This record gives sequence, structure tokens and C-alpha cells, in this order.
Amino acid sequence: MDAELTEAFKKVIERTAGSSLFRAVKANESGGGEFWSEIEDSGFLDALVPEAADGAGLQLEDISGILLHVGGAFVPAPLGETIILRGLLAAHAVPVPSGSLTFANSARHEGGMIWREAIDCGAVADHAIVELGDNVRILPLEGHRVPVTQPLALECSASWPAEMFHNAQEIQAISSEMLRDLQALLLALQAAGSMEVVLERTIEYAGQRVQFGQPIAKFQAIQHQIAIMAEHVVAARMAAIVAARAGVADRLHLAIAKARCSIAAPEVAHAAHSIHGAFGFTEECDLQLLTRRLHLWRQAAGSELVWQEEIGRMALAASEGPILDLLRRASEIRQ
Amino acid sequence: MTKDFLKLAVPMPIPPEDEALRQPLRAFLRERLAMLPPERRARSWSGFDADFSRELGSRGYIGVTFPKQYGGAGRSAFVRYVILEELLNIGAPVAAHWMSDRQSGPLILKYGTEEQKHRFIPAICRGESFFCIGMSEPDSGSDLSSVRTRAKPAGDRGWRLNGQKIWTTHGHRSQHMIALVRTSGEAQDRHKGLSQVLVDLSAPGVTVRPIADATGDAHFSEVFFDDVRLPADAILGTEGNGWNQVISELALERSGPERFYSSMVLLDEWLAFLRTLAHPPQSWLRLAGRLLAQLAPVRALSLSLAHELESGGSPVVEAALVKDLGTTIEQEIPTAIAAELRAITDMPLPPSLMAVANYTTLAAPSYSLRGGTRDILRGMIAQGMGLR
Repeated sequence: MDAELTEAFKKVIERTAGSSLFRAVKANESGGGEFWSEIEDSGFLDALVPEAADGAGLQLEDISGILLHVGGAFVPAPLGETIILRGLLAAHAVPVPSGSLTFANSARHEGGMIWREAIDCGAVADHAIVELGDNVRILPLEGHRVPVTQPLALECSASWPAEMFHNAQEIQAISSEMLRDLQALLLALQAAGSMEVVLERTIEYAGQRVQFGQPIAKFQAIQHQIAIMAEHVVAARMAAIVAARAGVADRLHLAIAKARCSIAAPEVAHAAHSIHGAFGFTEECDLQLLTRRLHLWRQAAGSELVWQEEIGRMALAASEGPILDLLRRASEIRQ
Repeated sequence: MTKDFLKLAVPMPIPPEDEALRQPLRAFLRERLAMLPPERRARSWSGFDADFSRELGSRGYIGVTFPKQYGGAGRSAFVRYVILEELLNIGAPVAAHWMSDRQSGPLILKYGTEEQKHRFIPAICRGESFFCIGMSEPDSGSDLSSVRTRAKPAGDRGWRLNGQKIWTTHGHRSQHMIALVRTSGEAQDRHKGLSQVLVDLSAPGVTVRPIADATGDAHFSEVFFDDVRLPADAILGTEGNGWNQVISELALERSGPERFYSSMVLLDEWLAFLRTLAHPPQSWLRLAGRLLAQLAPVRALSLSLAHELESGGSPVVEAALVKDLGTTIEQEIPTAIAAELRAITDMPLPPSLMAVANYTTLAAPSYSLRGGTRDILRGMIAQGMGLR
């Protein structure tokens, strides 16, 4: 993790993003475009693009702090997705479209149209990388959005004429597995970062809310719930950082990160709402902006069940020696 | 304060020179323990075998971090970590020397006189000297500073010890105890006036009675002191400094990998059975993944703790956090695996696997009791976050 880079990024986000902007964008009001221009100008979007293509030439590990921070900030755009996908496309010498990008893998073909339900950030993204049975294309979202009833965050469905999909430039080097793995790793980092902020806010709230003559943080029941939250936060963060360091080559690390962060997400969300009381259940309180996205990131790119099964298959295949050896591989990264 | 915990979340690989110990040890253990059935190995570090401890000691696997001049190998915390991992995952019967190696020896090295170090440490390293821990009493469990066992000065600069300890793991098979006792003041003085004393359990006035536990074993005991004569040099460290000493001892007790490996024999036996099935059930694969997805980050955190300790830190609260995470998984393993095993109706289950599952189920409550109950640990974590 590049600490200086992360600090610089935090300053940009502090200046440009916030919960009221997020609400405005979610309500289809303006502000999103302005935010995106500022981010474009900051240069962070090309962090993973090779230097030969005018990017910063960094690795995923270098920007892990940035992606953790995106998770806990009120970013009304697919910022993490765009950084990762620009890096992926550039690495495979595929022309990178301008604007924002998001994942739309596992699309389906129905009635002459290509459909993808609930694309994360689909309501605001410019383009989607659409995957249909290992065929990958970049398609515009403008004009093709289909609103989701009761979205968790900025999801939107989309449909394109099949012809449009097939006429778009084929991207052969990128597979469906690659896309899902990258999205899973991104969501694990975002979820871990978000849970850290949720924990901090919960500690702050419990320290301020006075009942029965003292802050509720003094009550043992509240303290124990917060302790359990902290355990999840630390374990999730470790899993995500290990995966960011390991990258996508050995899928074990990203599978564990997505599984562990997905297991933690609803636990941390529930405990936070429990401690925040009725106020935490209002639209006005920012907590729900964090927890609704925790639920989304837990579910997207496969819930914990999907990744648990992947890990289970790897354990099945590891027939030599104790399962300790798989745990060793999963928890130590040699640089 | 939360930031301090987050600093723990940095992966620390084991240095290659320390990792090199693993394969020779594993090969030795496989051969040496080949006749030990899985249901015995499931006892993990509760299994007592004095001969085995002696053999491990003679091969240099005990007291590896202790200075060479006292019989140790002067190696790093990571070497010890590798050794412990291999012992715990195969379920080696290490109980006899476990406490000595983990905390009694390090305590004597930290607070003892040169004479005490020379008297005890070499024998510990040889796997011949077995220590037990004298902390809990019938009325003093989590509230440890309320202990009432008392050492009164005797005329000849020695002491007379009266009182009782309970839940003393392998007290009935150990030669020595390091006990937390009151040497001055009264109970209401709490932390003040407590000392740690070295007790020879063969001394007149000492009675040890094993207590049968819920698994059918008798691994812990009660120890009665009836006017036991202690020599002047029975005090370990400084008289009256017992509380500070015991806190640092507890950090050692809580920070090792045994805090999440107690159910590994069951996990490995179950996975071995899973691999024999023509059609592995999806729920079994998902369960295996769930357990491993929780174990892996805990191992990474535990290594990070080992790094802290090796660097001279005292990560007391971080150790509590990792222990609570670890024991939660240890307890989930038998509960979840039993549910899946007992959902099978169309084929016989290996009796050995069921024996391991049943033992682990019965032993599981003790995982979150020993070395500090989960309620105490969660309170410590909360305090570490500034909530108290």
C-alpha cells in the first residue's frame, strides 16, 4: 500500500465527495458530472495503466489503500471499477473508452436483446464491460438503462440489441472469470474499507448518545457488540490486504477475501444499526448510505456462498498434507 | 484506538530460515505418532505424554526461543510458531511441557534470578520439567486479583503457603507450579500485595486432586496448600509485583496459534472423508470454504502478533482480539461439521471420524473459557478502543 498516494487520494475525495452529493446523484439530480471531471483531472483513474500508455504503471497492491478508502467514502461513481478496468484493458492493449466504466459480467440473451440486471453503479456509469458466455464487449450505458425497483445503491439494469453487442469490438484476451475475480477483489476491498468507517461512526455515536445518565458506550452489552464488530473489521481488512498483495493469479486469496468480507458485512451492518437506534434507521442519518452498499457489495460478484464453494473445491483438490498447507498459502505473501 | 487494531492487518510471512524447520519436524511427527489414533490426536494440546515431551526436548523442539546459555536455541518467535503449528495440526500430545514452554519458562527468564534460571530452564528445554499454572481459585476466576491463597512470612525468611487453586491444567502430573498469591495486605487491596511464587508440588502439605471433565478426561485439578513451607527464594520476580507479572504472562498465554487450531484434527479428518465421496455435497464444499475463509485471516493476524512479540512489543489487547476470533471458529467447526455429518442418511460414517467429532463437540466449551473467557476478552477489546 502506497501511504503517500493514499493520503493524496483522501484529500481529493474530502474536497469533492460527500453524503449530500451522493444523495443528489442517487436522486438523479446533478453533481455527478462535476465530481467525475475533478476525479479525471486528479489522475488517479489511470493508476494501473502502464506508463507506456501514459498511466502511473502501479500495481493493485499500491492502490489498495485507495480502494479501501473508496469503500468508506460517499463516492457517487464507479471510481474503483474504472481504475481497475482501465488497468485491465490497457494491460491487454484494448483501447480504453473515456469516462467511467463498470462491470456487467454474466449478461444473458433474451428475445433479441442482451440483458444485465442490477449493474453496480449502472445508473451513473458511462460504459459497461459486458460479458456473455465468455464474449466480452464494451457498450455504452446511456440510452440503454432500465431502472431497478428498490435499488440498494446506484444499480441499474441495462439491455442492448444483440446486434449492437456483436458489432462492438471483440475483446478476446479477457475472460468471464477474470472479470468476476477482479470485481470480487474490488468489492472485498471496498467492503473492508466501509466496515472500518461504520465501526468508527458506531463508536462515535455510542460515545455521544447519553441514556440512563451516561453514554451508551459504557454499557457492557454495547461494548461487546462493538468488540465483535472490531473483530470482523480487522479480519476482513487482513483478508482484503492479503488479496490485494497476492493479486489474481492464485485465486485462493481473492476467494477468501470476498468470502470473509461478505460474511462480515451483514454482521457489521446489523450491529451498527442496533447500536445507532432509531436515528440510525432514518434516511437523514448517513449510516444507511454505508450499510446499503455493504449489503450490495456482499451480494454482487457472488455472495459468500459462491466463494465458500470455490474455496471448498480448492480444499478438495489439496489432497496432499494437512489443510494447514492451504492456510499457509492463503495467509503468507512473499514479496 | 481503532487504528491500533488496524495496524495488525499487515501480512507477515515466516522468514525462510525459520520455515526450514517445518518439513523435518513434520516427517518426524508423522512417523513417531503413526500409531496414535485420530480420536487421541483430537485432544490436541490436552494430550499428556511425558516420554514424548522428553523426546521432543532431546531433539531441541522445546524452549527454542530461550537463550542458549540456559539450554535454549536462541531462535525467533517464528521458529516457535512453525513448531507449534506442526504439533497442533497433527494433534501431538504436548500437554506435559506445554505450559513450561509457553509461559512458565519465559516468565522465569523475564523475572527470575540467575540461580532460578539455571535451576529450571535447562530441564524445561530437555522436556523433563513440567509446570502448571496457579491462578484460578474457587472464588477467583475472571476476577483474578481477588485470589485468597496466602503466603505468610515464616521465621527463617521463608514462607508458609495456605489456600487452594482450581482448574489447574495437569496439576496432578506437573512437578512445579507458578502461583499467584497474596503476600501482603488484604483482598480489598486487589492488585496490590500479590506475588508469584514457585511451588514444588512434591512438598509436604500439597495435595492435588484431578477433576473429571465433561469429555470424560481429567486434565485439570484442584491443588490444596496446607501450611506448605516455601524457601526464601520461592518468590519469582519482585514481592508485590505479582499482578504486573501475571498480566505479561497472560499476554504470552493468549497470543499463540493454539488459540485457533484446537479443532484442526476434526477439520482434516472430515476433509479426508469428503475427498472419498463420489459426489461431494455442495453444502459440504460451502462449509469447508466458510471455515477456511475464517481461519486464513486469523492465521495471518496471529503471525502479525508473532512479529510484534518478536519486535519486543506487548500486544495484550490485540492478542485478546485474535484469541476471541480464533476460539469462535474453533467452536463453529464441530457444530457445523456435525450438522452436515448427521444429515447423511444413505451411507455409514467412519467410526473414527464420529469419535473425533464427538470429542471435539464435548471439548469445545472449554476453548472460550481457558486463558480468559470471551466476556473478559471482549471487555478488553472494548477498553482498547477507548469505550471504557
